Amino acid sequence: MEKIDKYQLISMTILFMIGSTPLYELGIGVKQDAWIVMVAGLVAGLLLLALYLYIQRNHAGMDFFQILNAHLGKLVGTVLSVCYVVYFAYESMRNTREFGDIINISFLPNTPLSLLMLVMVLLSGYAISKGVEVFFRVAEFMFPFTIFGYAALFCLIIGSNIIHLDRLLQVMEHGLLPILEQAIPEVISFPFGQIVVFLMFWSHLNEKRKMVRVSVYSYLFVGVLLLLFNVLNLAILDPSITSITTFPLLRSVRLIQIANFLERLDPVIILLIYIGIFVKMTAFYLGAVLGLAHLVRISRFKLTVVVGAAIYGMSFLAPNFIYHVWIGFAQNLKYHFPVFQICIPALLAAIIFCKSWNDKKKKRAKQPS
Amino acid sequence: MRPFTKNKQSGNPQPEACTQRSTESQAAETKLTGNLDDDLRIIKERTGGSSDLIIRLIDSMFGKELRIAVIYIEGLVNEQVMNSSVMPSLTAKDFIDPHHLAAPSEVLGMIKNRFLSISNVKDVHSLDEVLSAVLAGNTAILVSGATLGISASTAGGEQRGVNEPQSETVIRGPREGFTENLRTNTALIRRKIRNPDLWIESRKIGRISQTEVAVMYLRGIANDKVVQEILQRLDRIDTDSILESGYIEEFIQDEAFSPFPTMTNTERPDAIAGALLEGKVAILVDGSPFVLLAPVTIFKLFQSSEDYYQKFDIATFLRLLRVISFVVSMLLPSLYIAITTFHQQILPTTLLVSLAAQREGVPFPAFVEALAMEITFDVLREAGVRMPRAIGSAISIVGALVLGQAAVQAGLVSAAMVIIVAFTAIAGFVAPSVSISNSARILRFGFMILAGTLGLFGIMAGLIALLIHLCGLRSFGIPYLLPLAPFIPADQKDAFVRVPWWAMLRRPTLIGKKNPKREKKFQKPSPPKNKN
Amino acid sequence: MNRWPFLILLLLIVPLFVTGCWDSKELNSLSIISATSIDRERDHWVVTFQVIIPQAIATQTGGGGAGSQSPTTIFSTNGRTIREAMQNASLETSRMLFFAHNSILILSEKVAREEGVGQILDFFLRPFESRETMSILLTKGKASDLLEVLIPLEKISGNAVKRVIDQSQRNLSQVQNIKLIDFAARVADPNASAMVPELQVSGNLKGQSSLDALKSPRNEAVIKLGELGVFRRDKLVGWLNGEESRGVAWLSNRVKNLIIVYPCSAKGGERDSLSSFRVLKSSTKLSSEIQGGKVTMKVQINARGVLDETGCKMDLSNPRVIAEQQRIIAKVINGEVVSTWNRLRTIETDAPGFLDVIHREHPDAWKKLAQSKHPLDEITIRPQIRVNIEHTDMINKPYSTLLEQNKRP
Repeated sequence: MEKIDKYQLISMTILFMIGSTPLYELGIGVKQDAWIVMVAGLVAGLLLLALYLYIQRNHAGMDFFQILNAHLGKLVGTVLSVCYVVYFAYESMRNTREFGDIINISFLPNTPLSLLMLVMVLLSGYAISKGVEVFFRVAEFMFPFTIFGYAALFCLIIGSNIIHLDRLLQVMEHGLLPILEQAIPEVISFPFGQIVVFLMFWSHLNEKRKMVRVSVYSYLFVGVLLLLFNVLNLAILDPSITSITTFPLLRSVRLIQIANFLERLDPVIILLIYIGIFVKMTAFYLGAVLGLAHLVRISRFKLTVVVGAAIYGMSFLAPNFIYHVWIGFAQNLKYHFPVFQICIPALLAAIIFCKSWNDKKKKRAKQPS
Repeated sequence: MRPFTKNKQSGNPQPEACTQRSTESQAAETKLTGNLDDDLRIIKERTGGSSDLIIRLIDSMFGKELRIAVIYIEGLVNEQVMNSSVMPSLTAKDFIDPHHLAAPSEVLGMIKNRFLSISNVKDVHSLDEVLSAVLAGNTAILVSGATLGISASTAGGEQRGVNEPQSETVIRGPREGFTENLRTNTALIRRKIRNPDLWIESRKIGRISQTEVAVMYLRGIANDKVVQEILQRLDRIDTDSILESGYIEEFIQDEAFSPFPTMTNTERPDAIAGALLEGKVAILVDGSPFVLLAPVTIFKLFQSSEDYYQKFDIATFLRLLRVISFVVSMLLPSLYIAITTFHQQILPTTLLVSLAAQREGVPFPAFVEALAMEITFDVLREAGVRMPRAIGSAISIVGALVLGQAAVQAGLVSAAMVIIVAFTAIAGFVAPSVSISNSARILRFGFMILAGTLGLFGIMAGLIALLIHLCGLRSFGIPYLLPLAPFIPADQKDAFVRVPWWAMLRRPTLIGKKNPKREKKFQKPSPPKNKN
Repeated sequence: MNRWPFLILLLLIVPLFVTGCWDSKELNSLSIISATSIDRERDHWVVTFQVIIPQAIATQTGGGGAGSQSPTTIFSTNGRTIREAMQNASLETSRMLFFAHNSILILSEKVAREEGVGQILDFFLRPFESRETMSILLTKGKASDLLEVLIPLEKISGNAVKRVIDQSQRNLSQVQNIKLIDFAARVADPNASAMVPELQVSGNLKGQSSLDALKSPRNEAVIKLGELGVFRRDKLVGWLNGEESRGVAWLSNRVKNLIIVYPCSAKGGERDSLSSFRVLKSSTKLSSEIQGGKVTMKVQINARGVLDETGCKMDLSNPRVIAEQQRIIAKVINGEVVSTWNRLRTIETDAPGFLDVIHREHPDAWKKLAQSKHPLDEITIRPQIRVNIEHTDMINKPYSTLLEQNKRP
């Protein structure tokens, strides 16, 4: 069993959650209150995280697929496992296609999308072929640089004096309801609920006692970071411009002007975003590979190739970026992802709870006799 | 051209715990017959009557009954020792009792125990042992009728003395460097660490060359697993010859196809001593002044032994500078290509305009321009290394004036490109270890291709691939990016920064974990308490 | 072994990398645009670009012909959409137009009044290479004329204009540098109006557009900033003159550095000697009050600065005299603010964003106002101005007092 330590888990959780999220303005449907949507999503996501951690706490050393099989029986377990493999691969593919298109739109308009995505899938596949440990180490190494990057970005934004906090005013103009409507389930599903894939990795942690604390602290840290950038976009671009912009963060970054020298940093920021995307797509990819390893008995390398090919193939499903975003934000987040992120884990947790409750009752019944 | 100095060496006085497994099997083959003529004939046959093999026969008054043969190779032995210690004892008057013909073994015992004034003497049983002893510079003494002989340590002859190392010069620190002689090298290290726990294990590697390779480590500090692993890998080597430590490096390193070295080498005994104290293992190869060190992590390659002699603040600054220079020498040309041909919007307008003006009239794309200039520089560098000193200055004039100045004036390359290439080259020389700057030299071209195709995204993809490779790399079981990935807070004290000596309480965690404690706590100097 | 598939894949990919460089553009294949102007002729957009000629600008190059060549050149094209006009430009240029360094965008009054800026903003916010920090300017005549004027001391006139704006914004708060992104946000804001400075040419335009003009010390024509154009939604509705634009600056808390000229005494007329007060620091607080359905805006201006120049005779070391001066200055500011507000009301633009303040503080009243046809008419303002003269610089009495003393003996 490959082992990871707590620093690696912290780095991975944070980078994974950052992903491509800062690029988008989640909850912009309610204009200047988008950040409240974010807070609501953050809190709801924390509950979800507690749910996942509860499942894992009761089964140290087992990964998600083993837990599924143990509680739901061989047949249902296998069916669900297949579903989850597909789900993980699909999430990975969403990131692949998304970033390929981001690069096409804002960076290299003439470079073929197929090549960009091929490069990305190959990189992820290379990381996975080296194993869980190496991938977590990669994330660990990237972590300080990424945080430094975001911190530097924050300082540059402050330094160029483009924040207008008054643009956030008139808090909750239309009350709480539209905010909750935005937050549930979209913002939970992306990005907070995606942490479900960590059910595949937590079993590798060498210090099991620290799992809950480390996960929750990393989650809160990254939540605050995402919230910060959400607020920044609103304050820099004005809710009106933010609402019509494809990638608000890129636009905000282009407004940085320091000493007539530092301008137009968006290509650099895209690279920063790529670190998050790379970690997220590789984590899902790895989740799919690890899951598939339970189902079929072929070598890890072959699995990596097979899943990678599937992800690459699937990423051509959407005919264009507009459709890709629409199906992601308007369909998947509302109807499909919650099944995997909320329903099944909740069901599983309920079963575990009942079983352990029964056990306790039995024990209690036995003890007096 | 290295200055050779005559150095008369007396035979090394201290015998070592040598285990010579590789030659044991052969030893059984040809035993000494006891017939001196036959034995000598076979020896002559085996060496093809080589003219430097000297066989000196000493007759006694018993004629053929008792003869003594002294066998050595001219040039490998110390003539002074031969003339003052070996020969006088054998030709001494009272050596053989003229009235009594002693048994050959008795004579041998007398030579060995009474007369021969040489400290290191061993018995030899077979012809092969005789040959290998002679080839190692020892003198073999055979007595007619005896089925065993003795070998006396007389190794010496002309050798380079201990000089200041050429490849790693320091401003502050010891000025001695390793030589080609294994024994001199082990002695240099022993003089720094006078501790019986400094163990040496030897191997003879190379079927034909029979090169002596010594593995040196501090028992109780070095990780036993690493030592065992190194010894096993050494034993696995089956080749005809080992002429330099580079052979060993390629045979035993962890990853065959990696641009990064998983072992490092140094010419400096103090660097080896420091590394041994951290729990590392040194591999010395006879005939090479470059001693290998393992395991090594990437940050060690940016450290010079001088870092530990200078004040910690400047040492920390220099380390950061070296890492930055490494990154610069690897990425600068590719960043230039990516920014000037893909992402012109990053540049400030005035800079863009002046770069554009320079490129006006340059016939090649920036990528080709950069590639050509980089190759030109590498050609110049290679020419400079191999050239005799006298021609070196001509090379630099041709390189600097003709290629730099003229190419810009002729409009073949832009001035900015010359600046970029020059700075890249200089940054490449900052790394204290040649092997790591060579990695940058190779990788630079890969990054240039990526930058020319996909711009900054290509560079980023390349960096991530490189990072994955580095994260997967291990040096004898130790992760290559050690204190950063996996992150070990305690080891940060000697990675990018160097904390003062009084704060370096523990040895590196994974390498020296057997005996982690390095020094007493609370040694931070402070002014005396009682002020008078 | 495992490595073979990788190696084969690598072999397949490497040629791709070597042959493909889809997006690389060499520096010497770019036309770097430093300024753009947009006019409207009948139903066509007329887009004019000012392109930098690098050889003429860089001091030392292989060619060495700097100085003899005009530093910029101008292309003018037209089309039914702005993009089409730009595409048509490539029919006449040898190089690819490169927009990322465009630093100013000049719109003609006609475009801003009749067509509105909606489509222009859409166009400039869309492509990734356009620069959101470019400055927006208006002009009353033909916008493309402005690009032809060569500016002494400067080689890239687009950048020069930007520097003129920056410089005057620092020294004279009535001018404001409006970035494209801020302009877009202001236009979209239902509770505020956008304002854009005017750029004008004074003098003989033809004379200053040839390189010879730079050889004589006196310029035939100069580019200068003029009035302030005010928008209602995306259309230009009027102009504010210098005094009014200062008033807007006061109202919208933008005053950083401004000179106020005032007479010696409160009742002094035009012929009286004048003094200058330099504002160093100023803050304006807007707050709304509702009294019986009437909305009152309280405008609290707090200006601090120094007495910079005076022709009056008075004892400046006397606090009472200073207090009197402060009152006069406050009265001047008050006058500017009130007259500006009256003007804004007549052209019905809410340049300082009063409605925004009301929206924040009294959402109910705002709802009522938003339904009203002329919401600004229902607002009255109540300026409260405090001026503080912090010191009188290096001399503490007017120089003219010395003249008085000399007269006596």
